[in-house]
Amino acid sequence: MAATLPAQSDLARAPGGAPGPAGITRPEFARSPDADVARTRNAALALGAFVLLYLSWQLTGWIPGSKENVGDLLILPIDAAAVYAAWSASRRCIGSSRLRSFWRLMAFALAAEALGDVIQAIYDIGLHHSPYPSLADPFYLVFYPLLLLALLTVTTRTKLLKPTLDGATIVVGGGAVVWYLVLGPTVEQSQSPLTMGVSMAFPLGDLFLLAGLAAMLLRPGPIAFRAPLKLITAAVLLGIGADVLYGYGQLHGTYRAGDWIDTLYVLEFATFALAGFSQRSVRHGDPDAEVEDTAQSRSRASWLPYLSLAIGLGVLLGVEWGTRFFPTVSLVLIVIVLAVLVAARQYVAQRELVQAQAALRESERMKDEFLSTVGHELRTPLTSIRGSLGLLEAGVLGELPADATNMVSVAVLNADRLVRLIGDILDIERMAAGGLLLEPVAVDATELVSQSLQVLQANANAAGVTLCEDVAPIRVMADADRIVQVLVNLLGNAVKFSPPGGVVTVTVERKNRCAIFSVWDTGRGIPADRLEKIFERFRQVDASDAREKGGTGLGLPIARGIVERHGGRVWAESRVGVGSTFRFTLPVAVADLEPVRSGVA
Amino acid sequence: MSPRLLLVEDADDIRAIACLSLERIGNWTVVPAASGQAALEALAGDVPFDAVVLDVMMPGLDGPDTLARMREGALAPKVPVVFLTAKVGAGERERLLSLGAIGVIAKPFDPLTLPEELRRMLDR
Repeated sequence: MAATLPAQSDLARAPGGAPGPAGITRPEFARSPDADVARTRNAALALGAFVLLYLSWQLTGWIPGSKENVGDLLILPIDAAAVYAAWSASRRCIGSSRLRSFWRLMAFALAAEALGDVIQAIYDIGLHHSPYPSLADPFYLVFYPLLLLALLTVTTRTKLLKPTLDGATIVVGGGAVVWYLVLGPTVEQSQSPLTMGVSMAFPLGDLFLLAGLAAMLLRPGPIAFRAPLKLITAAVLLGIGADVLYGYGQLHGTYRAGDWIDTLYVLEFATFALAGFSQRSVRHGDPDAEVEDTAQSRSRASWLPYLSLAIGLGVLLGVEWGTRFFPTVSLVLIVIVLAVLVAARQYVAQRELVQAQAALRESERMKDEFLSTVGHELRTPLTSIRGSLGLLEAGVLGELPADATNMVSVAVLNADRLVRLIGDILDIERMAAGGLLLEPVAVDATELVSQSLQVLQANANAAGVTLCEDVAPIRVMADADRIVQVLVNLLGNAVKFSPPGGVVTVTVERKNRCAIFSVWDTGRGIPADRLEKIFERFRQVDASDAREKGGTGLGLPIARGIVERHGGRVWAESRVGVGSTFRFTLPVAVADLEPVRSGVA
Repeated sequence: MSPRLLLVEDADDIRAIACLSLERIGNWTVVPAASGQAALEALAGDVPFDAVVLDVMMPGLDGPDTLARMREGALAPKVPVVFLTAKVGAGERERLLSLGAIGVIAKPFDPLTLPEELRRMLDR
């Protein structure tokens, strides 16, 4: 059905357009989402029209009638749009109980505020008399706990120390402003307890909302809530600003219903409505219903305490120093408290970071220590075995019968293989544990190649294979021991798989910022479908190779691990019956890059 | 007269194998010691040694500690020392060389090539 109405699906289609699990449309969505899309779009358009109407009236006053009556009436459709937006958002979030209850609470909170506005309109227009406090105020006041509850519902409770510190910073900073502008003067004025209580309830409610907002921003919430989150934040901040200005105006007798300050309330509700409209639908099993990464929420709100600090100090220091409500001493105290809170937060964050890093280092060190110990424990008995067999085989302890010598030779060969296997397994495990430490420095490729050829020369002679080299004078960034290990590995394979009389060639050439090392052999070649597989653990081309050639099946994976840790890559090319080429790249040393750059320019 | 070598190794069988290899193939005069303490006592004797082969992991006084004692006393300030170790973790070789040894031989060693390897290290 969606396909038949492409224009409508644009507005409220789930962002990202991810289909449900396996693309199945669930039965509850059979209830035409298109109708919902159309309604949302119409409501958003209507909201925009009413906001424009209100703004144009505020600016020019073109609608006849008393300022407060027209204002009272024009705000009602915007209230209605906000309530509708929150309610429809709650119906879109079938797949997340957290989001559903958030939007329901929002709808109730906004409805309470709307009812307050209706009652206020009845006072102003029907009764021509607007008492303070009035019956509208209980509805206005219910808005605060409901909204606060909503803000706290949508996020998860995680580690509390840092959010608490941030919340405290915000409450002290914001509280200072609210006290200075509204609460302090209210206390000073002699009023009836009821009037004073109601007047103080609004700014106090705002203070709690500010803390709730911080909690919402600091703690991880559902991924699907990212877009509304920003708009909700903006709306709450608008509302708090409006309340502070309203309280200030009431106190000094400058506020009149329909005042320009009401524009802030209109924008607050329009923003709440937009937040509701921006909530994408969440189906059952939608991965975006899951809670996001903690780091994201952390980085999102790290600026909040500082903003609050700046606002608090800016307002306080900007106005006259040491008024009757605000003696200098309390100013200084607040500054000290704020500074301590921010410092404490920084300390906590820093300590957590240091602890995490230390834990990581410790776990890597322990892994390396364990592997090293395992290696030691395995090698010690092997030293005795290999040593005794070696002495027996060489006849140091007296000549053995031919059969016995053969048997001992078999034992020596296999002991050697076991030793190699242990070394290779430990290397692989070290790499998996992240413990293979490399120290790349600028080294001559020629040096690396000649060291490796030296190691393999005896093997090559025994196999009747000729070793050749054609190495360009390039300096590469490499951990020499480890790269020699790689080359010895590749050369060892090349010699092993070359027929007597074969030739193994090492070449090093330069391509852009890389040096390409290649080991060419004239062996039997590798089928194309095995070229990648041989870099996996214990995957030789032929299952009998391990037995006949004495390899461990780990040489190539180790070579790959080492080269990739240098920032290079390894691969094989081959033609069956002609030979194979194993290549790997290493970054060229920085000093060697310069002449090329100037050469190109 | 064949050169004198002090072989310090706590594992009896490995000590026996190394002795056989160094005496019969390498033609050294080998004095075995089963612990770091025993090694220090041997070094305190009248006849000087031409080299010391020192196991790293030993109970009580381990290889590096023994080397430190040798160097700090007037016991054997100049006798070249080669470490013997089954532990070849990252940077282990460099660590041992930095302690003042002239070489490191990894276990398991080949008894046929051990004397030659040792000779190469001493000649360098």
